[in-house]
Amino acid sequence: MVGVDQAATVRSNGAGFSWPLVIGLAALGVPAALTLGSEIWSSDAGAHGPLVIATGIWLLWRQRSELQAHGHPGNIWIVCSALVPALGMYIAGEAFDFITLEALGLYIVAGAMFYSLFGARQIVRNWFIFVYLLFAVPPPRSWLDMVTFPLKQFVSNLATGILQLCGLPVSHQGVVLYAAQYQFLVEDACSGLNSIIGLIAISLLYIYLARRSSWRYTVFLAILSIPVAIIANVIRIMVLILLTLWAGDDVAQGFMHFAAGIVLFAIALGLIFLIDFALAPLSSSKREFA
Amino acid sequence: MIARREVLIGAACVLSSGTALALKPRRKVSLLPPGSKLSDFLPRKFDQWDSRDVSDLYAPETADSLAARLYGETVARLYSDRRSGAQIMMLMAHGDSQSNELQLHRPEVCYPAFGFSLTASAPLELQIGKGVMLPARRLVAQSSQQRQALVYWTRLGEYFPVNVTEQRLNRLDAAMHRYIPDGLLARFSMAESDTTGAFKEISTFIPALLAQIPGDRLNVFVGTARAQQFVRAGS
Repeated sequence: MVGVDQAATVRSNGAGFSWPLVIGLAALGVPAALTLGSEIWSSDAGAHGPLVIATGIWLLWRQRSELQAHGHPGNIWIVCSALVPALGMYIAGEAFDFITLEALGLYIVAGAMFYSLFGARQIVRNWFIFVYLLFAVPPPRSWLDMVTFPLKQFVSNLATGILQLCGLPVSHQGVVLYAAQYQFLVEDACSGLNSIIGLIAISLLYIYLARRSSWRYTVFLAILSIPVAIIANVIRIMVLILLTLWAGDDVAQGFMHFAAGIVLFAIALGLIFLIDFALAPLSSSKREFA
Repeated sequence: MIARREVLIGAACVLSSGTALALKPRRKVSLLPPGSKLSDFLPRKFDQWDSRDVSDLYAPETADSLAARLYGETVARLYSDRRSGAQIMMLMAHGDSQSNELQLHRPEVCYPAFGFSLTASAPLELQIGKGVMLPARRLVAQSSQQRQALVYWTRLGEYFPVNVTEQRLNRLDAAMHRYIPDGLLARFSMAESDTTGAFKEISTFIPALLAQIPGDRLNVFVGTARAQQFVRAGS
């Protein structure tokens, strides 16, 4: 019953590119992108979304020869049993404005399509890409806040604490920072440390591209991306405070608006690169991609 | 040759997309008529109260701040009692359409971010007029410098959610009825160490303030059903 009809499932052309699937995915993806674009991608909680999707697709695209050579179509019943609830989630999410549900539904639909074309073994082989793509699904705001609120407090504490040790006139109340006569916020007051998700995603991308042969080392680095994202934020706040104190509020605000995001990502990437560079000798030698 | 199953999967996706599009509510229902503003209906002076506009004391406003994107209009006033000198801070914020990302932020979520710890947070049936009750919430927020007593309610269309979960369910209910509701946050607070006295002061202030709002606009603040009750009880 569960056995796959081998004769029917071995694809003759193995093109791995199918118009009906592309059209189907576009029909779901375009409305989702419009919703996400207007609400999530334009906020710092989800600005990394399009980047993750684009690079994730690119990473899968790089695997195309391997997929065509060794992929085997998945079991149609498994495809259906994933597709039906996923489409239900998508419809409910898109119609009733629950973005997480919508995005998760779309993610599972895309996964089911991938499985239908190439089978379970290829999903396992490319697990890292699928985990990475999961970062394009925005978590529910309340969950995100629950996790990142304390983080934001912690980051404010640490940044002001370090600067106080250096004798600077800095203090904070909650996430409102006071530097001399100036006061400012660590991101929007009523939300958590939103950028953290994007920072972890960008670190994961680096880890994948600089992949070592040992998966243990990969997972180890991936876990380290969390403290790296936190430290990057501490550094950003310290830079912001120092700029405010030394160059004035205008310069600091300008920096904040134009460069803060990019600087944050650069710091996080730089840190993960340094850690990788320092620890690389511990892992086995680098593996080249085919 | 295109496999049959791929055509089926693609068709299921297109069909789902169409279903979602058909179900999606587009009608925006706002109790605040277009072109009018909250501040037009809120008296600057009444009874023994004088007021002045203030910026929200703890959230420095910036153009692209969350608050600016969230709310179409925010009115923040500090009312002071000419006789006793008591001061009540009022914050009214209105947003035209409540969506997943742009929806009312509840003070019990935001206050901790400003360095307050909440020492009490409980739902409360607030009496706003003779026999007219409104589901609200009261909080005591403590910072290193001061203690604040807060009473607030949120209106989402004709719903009055008292917590985040209810707010989400109400939004879903509105979507099921095929409309996108507006949202209002009404918050009253006193910086006062005697919170019992502060709550008493606030709960007499609110009905007095609402009584000053024109009867046909009261629904913006307390919803249609309660506005009618309020007007009937008053006449």
